[in-house]
Amino acid sequence: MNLSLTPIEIAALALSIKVAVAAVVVSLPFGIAVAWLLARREFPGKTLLDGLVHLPLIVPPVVVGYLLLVLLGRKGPLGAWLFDVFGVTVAFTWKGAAVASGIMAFPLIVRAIRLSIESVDRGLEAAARTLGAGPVTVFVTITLPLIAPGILTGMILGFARSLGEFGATITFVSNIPGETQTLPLALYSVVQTPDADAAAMRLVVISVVLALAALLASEVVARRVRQRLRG
Amino acid sequence: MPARANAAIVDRGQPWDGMPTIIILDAAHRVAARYPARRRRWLAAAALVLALVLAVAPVAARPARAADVLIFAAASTANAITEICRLAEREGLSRIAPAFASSSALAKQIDNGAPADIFISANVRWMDFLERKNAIDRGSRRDLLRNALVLIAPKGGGLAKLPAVVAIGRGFPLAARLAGGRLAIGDPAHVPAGIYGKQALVSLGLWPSVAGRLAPTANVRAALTLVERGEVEAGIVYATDAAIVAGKVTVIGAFPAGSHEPIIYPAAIVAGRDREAVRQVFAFLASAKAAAVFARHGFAPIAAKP
Repeated sequence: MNLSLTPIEIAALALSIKVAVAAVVVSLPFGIAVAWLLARREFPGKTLLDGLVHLPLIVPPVVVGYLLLVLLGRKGPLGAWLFDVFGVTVAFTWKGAAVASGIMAFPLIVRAIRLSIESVDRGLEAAARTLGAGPVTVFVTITLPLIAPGILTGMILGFARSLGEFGATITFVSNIPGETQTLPLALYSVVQTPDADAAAMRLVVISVVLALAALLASEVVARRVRQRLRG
Repeated sequence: MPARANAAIVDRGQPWDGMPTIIILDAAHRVAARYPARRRRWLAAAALVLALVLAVAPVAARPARAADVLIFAAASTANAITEICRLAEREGLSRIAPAFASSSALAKQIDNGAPADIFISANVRWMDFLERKNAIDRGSRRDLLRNALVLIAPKGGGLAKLPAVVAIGRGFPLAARLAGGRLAIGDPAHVPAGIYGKQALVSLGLWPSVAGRLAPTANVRAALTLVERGEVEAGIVYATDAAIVAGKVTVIGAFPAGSHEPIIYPAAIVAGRDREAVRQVFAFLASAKAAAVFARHGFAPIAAKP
């Protein structure tokens, strides 16, 4: 069994990591904001927002991909605006794959962070306010460190979801080797080719190793965070 | 309305989504956090059972009725076959359930035991693959249809402003006209339309200049959608597909028949699925009435060998 990776496998692996990291990094601020909104505030339309956030979880990924194509494609309303104002296209690029992965991972990130925010002791925040801290200071110095485990969980879930994202990606940005062909898409191409079982198994092994490595890394970081919170 | 197993269910190329399971487990976690430890265990057990049931449910699919004949057909034949199914039912044959996807996906599924009765491939290669694996009834195999390959562009797009050519030749300025845009094509690694497209581009000497500008899709209909939506500058699809959305796409030209393998659609009965109802439907597919429907959709039916 040849242990060195072929160029296609390296490209797929590198792209998967790049897309997943970008997806999580860009969704995180929005995820924290929306989770905080849903956990702490009451407002008309809150249930609607909650429903919209969970939509990518319930609707088939191909539908999400098609919606992205309609909105963010070159001829879509948002896509055309992005191109006119910023000169940026996301269609058929790794950025589009990152957008698709980020949207599919968003509900998981929000759920994890919201759970964490809801379990923060409001008394601690109130105490900080009585001692003179403004709301932003309270959030940064009290709330954020306390919800750090939840944010970490959200990031892990989001990263894992992005690594496995297939339907929305292939529908929105198609299967371009080197540009949008992440590991799941590469695996799909190979699985469709008859008599390519060996190549398929190699990609499966690579995907599993990547997932385990990510899990291991997150466990190490989670342990550090827990120690710091206790100490 | 004939029962239909549509491509979304049959095309299991998409990895299984464990979303319902994850939602149940997550929601159970949130609810359990509010209860004392003892009740939590019961809730956890209930949630686990529910999650397992949801995980297994898609696999325990509705079994096809004995009267249903299941046809796995290439995506490009979707419109014609659907019409022929309706026609067959009116003629008194058994109910037909068609499933459409790329021939590569269907061949793989049949090889892995999918309960198809008849297989219509867009490419001889995938029928040969199944024949090697003894997955089809060799005696029943026949060449059913012919098709042609065309280059299309969105209506009003850049390429559409070129005068239409009858046959695309070696000097066709494809790369130049793509001008930074992409060429939608079924994945040349496994989609028949993509394989023919790549053969044509290679034999016309156009492949090196456009290989880096492709948008490979999972099947030929997805490539058609991209052109229809104007997301790409051009696409390579079957002549029959271009005819379906004639209002939204312009046919720039046809690839000469000699630039690629002949596009032949073989059909065969799947091994072990031979029964009277299936043979009747198979014979109907080759009949004059079905041939008329195929012709109306732009295919060239191949007459049965005497």
